[in-house]
Amino acid sequence: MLLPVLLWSLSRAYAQEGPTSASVPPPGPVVSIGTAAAWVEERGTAGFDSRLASLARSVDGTNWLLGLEDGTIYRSMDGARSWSRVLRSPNDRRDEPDEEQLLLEGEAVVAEDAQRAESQSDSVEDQEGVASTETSVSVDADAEASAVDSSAAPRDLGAADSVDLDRVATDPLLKDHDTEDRPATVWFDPVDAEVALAGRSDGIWRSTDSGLHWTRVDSAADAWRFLAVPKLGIVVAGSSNGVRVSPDGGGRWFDTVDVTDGLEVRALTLLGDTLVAGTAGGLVTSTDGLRWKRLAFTGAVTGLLADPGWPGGMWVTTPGGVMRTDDAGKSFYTAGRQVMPGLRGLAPLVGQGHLVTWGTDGVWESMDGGVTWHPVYQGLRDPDVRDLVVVGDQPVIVASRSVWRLGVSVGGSTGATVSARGDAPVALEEQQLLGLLVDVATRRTGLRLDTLNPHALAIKPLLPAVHLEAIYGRQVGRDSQPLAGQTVENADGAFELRAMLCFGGCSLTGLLDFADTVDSYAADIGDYSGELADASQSITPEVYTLDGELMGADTEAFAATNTAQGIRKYRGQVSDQVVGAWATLQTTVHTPPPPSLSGAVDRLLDIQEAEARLDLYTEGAYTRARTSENVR
Amino acid sequence: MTFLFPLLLSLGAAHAADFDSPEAVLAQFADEPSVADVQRMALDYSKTDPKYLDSWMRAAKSAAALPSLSLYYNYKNSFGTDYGYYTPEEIVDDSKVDGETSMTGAEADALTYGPFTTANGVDIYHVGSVRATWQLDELVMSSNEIRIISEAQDIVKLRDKVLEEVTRLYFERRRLQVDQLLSPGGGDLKKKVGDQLRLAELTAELDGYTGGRFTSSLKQK
Repeated sequence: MLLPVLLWSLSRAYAQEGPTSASVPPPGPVVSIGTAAAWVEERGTAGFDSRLASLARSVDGTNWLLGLEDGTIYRSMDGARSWSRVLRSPNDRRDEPDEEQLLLEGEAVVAEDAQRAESQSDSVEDQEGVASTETSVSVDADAEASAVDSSAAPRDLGAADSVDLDRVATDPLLKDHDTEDRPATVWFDPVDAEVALAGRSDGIWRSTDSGLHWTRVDSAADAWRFLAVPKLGIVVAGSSNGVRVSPDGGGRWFDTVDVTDGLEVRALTLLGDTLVAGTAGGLVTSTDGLRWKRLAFTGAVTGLLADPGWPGGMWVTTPGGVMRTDDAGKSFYTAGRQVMPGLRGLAPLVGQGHLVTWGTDGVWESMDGGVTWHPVYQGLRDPDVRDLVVVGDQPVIVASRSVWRLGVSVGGSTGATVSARGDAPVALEEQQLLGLLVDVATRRTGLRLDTLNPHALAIKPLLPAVHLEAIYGRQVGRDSQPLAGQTVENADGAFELRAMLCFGGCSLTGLLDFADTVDSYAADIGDYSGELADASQSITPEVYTLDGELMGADTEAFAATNTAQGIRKYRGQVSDQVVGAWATLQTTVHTPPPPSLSGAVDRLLDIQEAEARLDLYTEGAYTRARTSENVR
Repeated sequence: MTFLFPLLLSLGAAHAADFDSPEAVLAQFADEPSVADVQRMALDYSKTDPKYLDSWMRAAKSAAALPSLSLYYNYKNSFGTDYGYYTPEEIVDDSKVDGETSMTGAEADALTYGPFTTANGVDIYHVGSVRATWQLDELVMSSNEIRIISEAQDIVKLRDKVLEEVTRLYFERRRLQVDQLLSPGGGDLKKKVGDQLRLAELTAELDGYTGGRFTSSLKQK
């Protein structure tokens, strides 16, 4: 267990020079995402009819897609804050009255489409913008209609690939789709921001206008994951029945006949040039996307993430925790001791070894390559996290009922990402100031988590003790023989330097075996050696109490873990206190003063008390910030 | 002075109408220590100032750079005397010169057999050593450091708790002062006495957290 950790640590230097995947952020200082922030619900996203399932963001960041459990797909153009429905649930379509009615609607849509073509100058974005600003969760009727309209289908597809109303009416695939609601998986092409894919119970859908209009391009049900493989020029889909491959960016799909047939493919990643798929029955790998073979790992897999800093390194999320391989899947070991049930995925954050995983028990963060994990739970009332997208250095998550992002909540406002860090704030916006205050309050001496370096604990057993010893001995003697009338005097001396590196449990006996230089010292040194050996034994056992528990010298890792957990817990409480004082302050400041003098004085005292409490937790940072700004 | 202030007010020294703003009301207490001053007093008295934690952390970090030293000195004085005993035959043999004995057996028997001192010896030993030991693993993270971090966390909790309480007491006291200032004639005598006792109690509690510095500060001003 320790060796890969050490090797991982040693590999950091290598990693900074090695190739990095486009999807992996560059190495940088590792800053915990939960240090000074709490999850904030995008309140506008709480009105969906079905539970949420998946989230995707276009490579240029302008468009977001949201898949629901009933297969409905929504689109956002304002950073996942307000949403417009662009594709209805498959079961909704079945509720439509009859074929004739469908055709009538189709004709109307065709007419509207012709009109829309004439007024092409009215950009789609404008239409979307109107829909988005009117309500947080709305329906884009045009987009939905065009989803079954051949004339509105993407022009770059062949005629045979387009879906028209006649086909919709007679398509056995549409009629055969499962009546049970299945979640929609949404995906954006990592290169072309216009291309998006969605996997639902009625097949794979494709959009070439950033998710506004959709065309069903394949009948394979329940595509859980998509992965672009630029080197091979293909897109791979993992479905409930194995792997499917598209040679044209998702326009056409082909089934692969191999070991993945019949397996639910829940995860896909590129490990170097090798494709790896995580299935309900273990891992499979392929070099061309067509022929797959099994790897040694046979447990259920829910997520995969290749380690950019270690060739052949990969993390695997399972329903029970995180596993890791350092040798491209030849062997696996458990990464981290935390019990993290129901994990669904894994993603990299900014900084080497900075990871985030999510599942039914919330979001977990690791800052040491998966060796230790801690929950990022502050403010997250809905821990059933379905999907996660990293934007910059902050994650946006889809919980079962709404979208959440990491920020600081004040008086109901949302989306304030904490980005300011430092000790000398000047000219800060209110939100940034709060983020700064929380940051300062939780990074005070005694609450800093970076003082507990898990890497140091990991390498400690490998470091020796160094013993240096200088010994000087002198002996003077006189022997006389009265009968012979002879007297003999002698003098001997010795100086010796010894050094020893002592790995693991050490005994000083070997070092102190000093009887070989001056024979006559043997007895003395022997005694000396024994005394010191006894002394060293009396020093070695270190036992102390920590948080009421008896800790031994060999339990430093546990002591550090307990201490870190205690610190994290208290940091959460401090954050709550600071945010509470801030909320009180803001509420009071923005409340008109009462007409009575005593009421006005009370209000002023409330403000002063809230400010004093902020100063209390931030060691005066609030006043320093206000003084520098001359605010109020 | 501050203790008497509310009583003076109760005699009609000030009325709400005398003040044109809440700031003017609070300005009446400008000669009292600010909440920041009181927090600093509590911080000093409780010895929970962050500077202590910083020094502990530095000491814990740098302590491992110093070796543990062992000094050893051993002095030993070893002495001895050898004794010999002679039989009459050995004495006779020893007295022979050129094979001719000068001593009869009877004469030899008359001589004592010893003991004779044959050798004296003394040996003096001095052994000294200096041993320095560096625990390199302690340089990266020592158990002492973990303990200090744990203790530092407790100190921060204590500091926050103390300062929270001090802040609460300070403003409760101030509100009571304001109430007495703005309502000098309101309430009955029992309430006034009760308020005055509560004011004294809050002052005493602040003194408890500041080691009496709060009252000392009031007297100085």
